[in-house]
Amino acid sequence: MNKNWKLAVSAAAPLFILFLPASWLPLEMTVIEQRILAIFLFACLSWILEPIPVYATSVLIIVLELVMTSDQSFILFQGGENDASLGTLLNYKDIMATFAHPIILLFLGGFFLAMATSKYRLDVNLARIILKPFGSNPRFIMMGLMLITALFSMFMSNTATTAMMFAILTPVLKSFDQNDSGRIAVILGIPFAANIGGIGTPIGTPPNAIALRYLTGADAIAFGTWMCFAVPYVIVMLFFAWFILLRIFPMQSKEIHLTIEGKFLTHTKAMILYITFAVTVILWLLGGMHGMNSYVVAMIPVAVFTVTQVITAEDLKQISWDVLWLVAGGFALGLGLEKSGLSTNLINNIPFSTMSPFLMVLFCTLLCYIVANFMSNTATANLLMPIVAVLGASMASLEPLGGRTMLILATAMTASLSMALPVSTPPNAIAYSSGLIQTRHMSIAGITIGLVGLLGLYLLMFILNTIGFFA
Amino acid sequence: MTKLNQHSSSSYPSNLQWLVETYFSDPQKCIRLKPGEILIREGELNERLFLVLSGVLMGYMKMPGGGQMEAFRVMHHRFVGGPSFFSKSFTSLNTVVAQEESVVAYITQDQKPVFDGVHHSLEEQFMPFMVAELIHRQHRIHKIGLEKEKALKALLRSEKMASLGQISAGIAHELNNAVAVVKRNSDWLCSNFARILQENYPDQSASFQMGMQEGRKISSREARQKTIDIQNRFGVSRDMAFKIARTGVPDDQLKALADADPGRLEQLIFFWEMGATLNDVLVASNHAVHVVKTIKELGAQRSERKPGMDVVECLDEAVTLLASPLRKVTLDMLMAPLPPIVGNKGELVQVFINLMQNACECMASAHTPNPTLQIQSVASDAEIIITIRDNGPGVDPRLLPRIFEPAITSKTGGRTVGLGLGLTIVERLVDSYGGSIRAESQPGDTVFTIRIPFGGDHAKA
Amino acid sequence: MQKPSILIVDDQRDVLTSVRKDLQSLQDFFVLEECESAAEAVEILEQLDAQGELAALIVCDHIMADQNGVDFLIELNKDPRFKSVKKLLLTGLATHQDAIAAINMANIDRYIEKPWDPGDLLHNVKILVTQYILRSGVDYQPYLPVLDQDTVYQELQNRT
Repeated sequence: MNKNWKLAVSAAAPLFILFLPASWLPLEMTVIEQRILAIFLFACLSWILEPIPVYATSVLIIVLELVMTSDQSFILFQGGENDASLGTLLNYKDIMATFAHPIILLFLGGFFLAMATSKYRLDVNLARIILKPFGSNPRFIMMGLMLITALFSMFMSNTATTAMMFAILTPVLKSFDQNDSGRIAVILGIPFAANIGGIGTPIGTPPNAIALRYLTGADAIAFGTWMCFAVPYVIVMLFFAWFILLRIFPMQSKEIHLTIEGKFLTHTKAMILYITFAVTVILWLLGGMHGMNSYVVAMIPVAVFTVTQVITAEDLKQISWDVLWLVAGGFALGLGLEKSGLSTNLINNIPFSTMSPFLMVLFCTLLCYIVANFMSNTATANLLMPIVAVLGASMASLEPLGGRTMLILATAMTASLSMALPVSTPPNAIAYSSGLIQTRHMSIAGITIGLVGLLGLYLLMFILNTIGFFA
Repeated sequence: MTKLNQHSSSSYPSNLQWLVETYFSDPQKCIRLKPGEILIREGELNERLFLVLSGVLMGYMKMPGGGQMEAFRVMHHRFVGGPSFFSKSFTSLNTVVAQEESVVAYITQDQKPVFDGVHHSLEEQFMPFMVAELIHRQHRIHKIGLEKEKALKALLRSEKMASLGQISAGIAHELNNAVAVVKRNSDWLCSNFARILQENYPDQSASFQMGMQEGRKISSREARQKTIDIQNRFGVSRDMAFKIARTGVPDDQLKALADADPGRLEQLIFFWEMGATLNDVLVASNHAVHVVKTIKELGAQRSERKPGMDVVECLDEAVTLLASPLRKVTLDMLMAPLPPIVGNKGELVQVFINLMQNACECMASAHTPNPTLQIQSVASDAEIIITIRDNGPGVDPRLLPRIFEPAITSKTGGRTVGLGLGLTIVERLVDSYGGSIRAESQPGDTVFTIRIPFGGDHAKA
Repeated sequence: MQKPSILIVDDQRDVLTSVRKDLQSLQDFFVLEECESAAEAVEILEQLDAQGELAALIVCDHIMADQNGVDFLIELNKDPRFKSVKKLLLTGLATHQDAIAAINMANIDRYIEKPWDPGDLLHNVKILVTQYILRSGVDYQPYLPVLDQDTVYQELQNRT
């Protein structure tokens, strides 16, 4: 299907919903709700078909909401006499505020840390130090590489981490014997570790942040708390991935030598980076003790780095605004669904509670897993998370299993387990583009790890529920 | 010598005549030498001062590394042994040998001076003649040195030319072999491929033949213009449409193929490209043959030269051959009739073509306004002079001194030479006529001047 | 996916075609434009610019009939619109001065001697288009199959 067709479909279907007479709708809706539904449908189609870049879809969502559903919308959209059927107009400030949502700023803080880290080569230098104890046995070196990748991807973007690791690895990959299947294991180990590692912190990957957006009030999860349950899961999954990769692609080489050149920078700016990095992470982990939540803490490196010019105006241009806006669009979509009353409307009118809670968890996570394998994890989370949040809230039967918090967490973390195809995540694409592996290699290992990861996730949720985490 | 004599006679009473009569007229003190007979030997005792009465004697000096060197040549009324006689060393400085039958008279160291009316001593009386003798010898040595240097230079030059010739002949030989293989084999490929195609893809044979025979005749610009048309008519991708347009296959043929099966168009590109590639190979090998020929000429033995060659005629021929580049240039021919020389038409035409082509290319690439090429011929009493002048941007002054060296090409001034050998060939040819070529250049005025002697030694060779 | 252009400039058609053949593997991701003179290349660049299309790379011959490659690239380098276009000079016979001018004034990215090795040419072209793609702001992911791996790693490391 070419681009124009995709665009036509993405536009026509929502327009059809938009102009559908109210009486034809399956449930009673206000006009605003109908518009939000149309926007939601547009978001679905546009994120899936990608006639325009995913972040552009996000921006369009925000603008469409502003123009069609806000209290400052175009005059013809503000309705007239039949105000009753119009519904509640959304506050335009709330919609715009999604661009600077605390979670977006949390990510911005993470970006600053990541940028400075790679600028002053802290990442490469840390990799060098951490890899040392792993010796020259290729199996252990691979373990070391995966651990480092996972560790870095908790704080840096998965893409940048993968790129950095491959840059380090290139000479090693070339020295590998062509027929040694262990090379495939190493090549796959990096992106898989990056994907898994992203689960480790709220800023590890955007789906985590999107989950946080729906976990507010009593359900809120602090940075440190997240890490408490996510990091052990990441470690277990890493070992499993390492084990299974070496099982499928046995290592024949007896010895490899990985030399990483460089030494730690010791000038003032580098020192500022080291200290700021450490302090920020500590403050994040000690969330409850100092009164500052993780969002506020995230602003500290932003301030420190700009004041000390660790990050210059030129560096600012490197920030991936597209990622931030992609997330913001998702937030706006969620906001629209909530504030227009559409969410509640759906909860009240669809008999979710009659469904089996187990089936529901299975359905949500599998849907997320499958969709995220084919499209952007962030876009998947953007689409699914508002629905999952609604579902979780409406199903009383889910409560014994952990309620909506459990459902949201499980779905968000599932997004990071999708790594079956080169298109699943940017790290996969980078690994695949090395030309040294085939899609089937990636799929065999990726699907195995993904499905085992899902089982592990259910177990994790069971344990968390058992110890009363969701109560 | 004559001058010195006249001079001495005015201020010195003891002129040569008086000295001869006074000291060298004793028949007892006279030696008759046969050709090859040695008068004195270097380093041996000699207490005599000789005066040559008749014949020719040569003086030699031992060289430090062995062998000997000519020091002087003396004839009638010149002195031998002066330095040893008057320095009182009485050791001969040279070995003196008679060239032909000669007669010398001498005085010995115990010779009593005869008063001449002014001077009492032998030293005073002989001084002017000794000085004259020394000056004479010095001049001679100087002249010999100069000649030697000139000879050495000529030798070096001929060696350089010879080795350049050898190298180029060697290169030409090797390249010729390689090119011959390329040519022969591609010919073979062409004919066999054409046959196979005729049997298996009869409808594509024409496109292959077209590619092979006509080559890449469609320019990228023309192809681009046709691309959209083809894209629309046959519903192919832009990339493919461009490639189809590049082939230049006529529309009706395209249509016939497309009607039969749209896949045929892709096939067409392939077969045409196959033909065009073979054509490229053939054209390139022909070019290589030409280049090899040029290199060969650089080192070639002189072609046969005949007397009665009219250089103006050669210039006319060069102009005819360069018709197309000269069309863009104002040609100004100032021809004086020239005396015939001994020469080879091909060589001379080549010289002129090289220079004119250079000038044209240079003016064209610099977009010189009103490009003008002036060719002038003049004859002086011994040489013919041809000047070729253009108003192009000129040669970079840094490159000018080296312009005739191989592989000097100057892109900045726009004066490019096909192989970087053109001017080297020109210089070599002119040189072989005993002539010279000079380049003078400044922006807007570049002149090459060729001088060829007529009737000289070289022309007879 | 947008297809950025790669311009091949050479006044000899056979050379033009053989360069194109060597770069054939890029044709699904880039438009390979053939130009027989610097003037024609400028025309195409203007056209691409007017239509908002991207020009990623110019593979330019050195000694050409009309305008020589170095002069053309120097001129191009002065035009702010085409500053980001990568420049590769293919050269048969180059003097020292040409090389200096090409590097100092034309800011060329690669200097490759004729006769070239097809693999070497393709590798260098890939490096340059990779740099171009990753710096031009278009989404690099669709191009990954033809991009140069090492360059991708280098460029992506600094992304947030």
